[in-house]
Amino acid sequence: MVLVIDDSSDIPIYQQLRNQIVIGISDGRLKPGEQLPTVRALAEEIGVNAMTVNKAYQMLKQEGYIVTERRNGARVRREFGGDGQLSPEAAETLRRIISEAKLAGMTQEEFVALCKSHFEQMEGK
Amino acid sequence: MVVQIIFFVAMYPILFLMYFILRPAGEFKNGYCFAVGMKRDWIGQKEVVEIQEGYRREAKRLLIVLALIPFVTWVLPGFAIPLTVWMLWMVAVCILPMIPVARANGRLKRWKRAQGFSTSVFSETYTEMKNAGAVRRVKFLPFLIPMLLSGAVAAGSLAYFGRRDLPAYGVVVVSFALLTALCYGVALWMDRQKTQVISNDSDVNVNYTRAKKSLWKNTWLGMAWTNTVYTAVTAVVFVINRSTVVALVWATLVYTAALVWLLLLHMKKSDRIDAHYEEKREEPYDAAADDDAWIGGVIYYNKKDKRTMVSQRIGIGTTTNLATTTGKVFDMIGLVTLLVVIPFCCIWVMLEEYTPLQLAVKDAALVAEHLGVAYELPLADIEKITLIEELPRLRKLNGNGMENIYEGTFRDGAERCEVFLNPQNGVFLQIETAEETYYMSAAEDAATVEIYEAVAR
Repeated sequence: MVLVIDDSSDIPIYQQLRNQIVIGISDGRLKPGEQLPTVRALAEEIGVNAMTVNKAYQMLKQEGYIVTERRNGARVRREFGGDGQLSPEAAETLRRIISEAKLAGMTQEEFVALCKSHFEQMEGK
Repeated sequence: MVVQIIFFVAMYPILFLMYFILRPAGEFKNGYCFAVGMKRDWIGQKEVVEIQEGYRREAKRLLIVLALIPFVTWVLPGFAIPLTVWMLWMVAVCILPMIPVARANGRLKRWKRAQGFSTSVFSETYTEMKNAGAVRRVKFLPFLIPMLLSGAVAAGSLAYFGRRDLPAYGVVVVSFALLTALCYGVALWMDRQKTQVISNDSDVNVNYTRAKKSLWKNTWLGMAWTNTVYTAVTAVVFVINRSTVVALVWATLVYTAALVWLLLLHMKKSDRIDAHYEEKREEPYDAAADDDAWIGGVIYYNKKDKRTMVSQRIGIGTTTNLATTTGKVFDMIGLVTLLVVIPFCCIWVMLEEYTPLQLAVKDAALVAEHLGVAYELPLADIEKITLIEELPRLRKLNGNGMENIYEGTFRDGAERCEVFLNPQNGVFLQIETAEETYYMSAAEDAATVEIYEAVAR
């Protein structure tokens, strides 16, 4: 999976990292149970401080996307038995995106169709 | 003449190496031409062809001029002036071939912008997550054998020449042996570079990087072995006959040819890997894909890229990102070496060769001066002084042994002696003290005789 870090973005690097790993898990580029690189190796590869990667991994662990084991390092969780609800932060982000779509002149149908298309893409359809 | 041959053998191949490294700059390779991101179907366009042909003409003209200059040194007198010409020529060979590349790069960027394409589009760094930090090909063991052999040769030489009071020969062998360890160090450092992102497919990225790193590992291992053999041959030549240089010249010739052959082989194999992955290569996924970050196509300066090292767009290997502190330090070292140390060394050698020897009696002492005081012998310490017309066979241990200056510690048969003279003179002083034997002369024979008479009185 190719990570894209935008240095000129307002979004902090650890957040960019976290977001892309979540997208990678959802669209199948990162398989359930797949081993993730160590904090140090990934930090060296991206060219950022190890604390930045560590922070992203901690967020992913707290949110239940990855598990960390003392011997095997970090892995993508094998099963995602979610409650079918978005987290309050994600719901707020969705609200903002809907507002932007509305202001951009999109209709409700067009927005839903776009969401559906992305959803299907992530499911590999 | 021998020195000229050594210069020729050691330096002349650099010109052709540079030519063959830079020649493909104008070809479409890895999505680039003259270090400018291009599409394949742009290559046949009239303006692009004109830029390519213009570059080839300029590069050939430069090659011919640079190829002729070293022949001038065959008619130049002495050692320092030919050395200076050779050194300046080498600096020119490293820098001047970049000018046609930079000109073509500028023309192509202007053409690209005129077509409505941006030359600065990337603000992102692309990183392959798969096998991060694990795509490594260099192992310690294969390098250990040449390093041990070089080390053994170096240690043996130090002991052998140390016992014979000729440590300088041992030091030369050790310095060659250290290059073997350096090969391992550079191989290790290159092996730690990040995975190259040429596609959105992780397997393609990892396999491409693995193939490139394997190739570099093999090249550096080849260089380590070549250097080990050269170190051993040098040591054997020194042991058999230290005064012969013909064997050393031949060894250096074969060594240089082997290194050039290894690099050319590397380029050929690297091209084969790139050709294999050409179909799989997608739009550039690299911050270094920003055309404007490449000054003249050869200098990389990108503040948005945190990496110190990136792959060269022209030539082989990697280059530094001048926007980073480490990149600046590396490039400063290179620049200082090229533009300060080399000219300084040339000036120093010229001063050594052309500053006349000054020998005089001052304040009851014999004072020898040449770029500072070399020797100061109180007259009371001189036990015997003889005027001789023929020098014994002197062999340099350390110091200066140019055609017109012998200065330093030499060996006269089995004995050590201190030497300060112009071997082209007709008369010399042989001076004996309780501890040492000296051979000296002033700049002119008449002055040497005058000093002899003054001291003998």
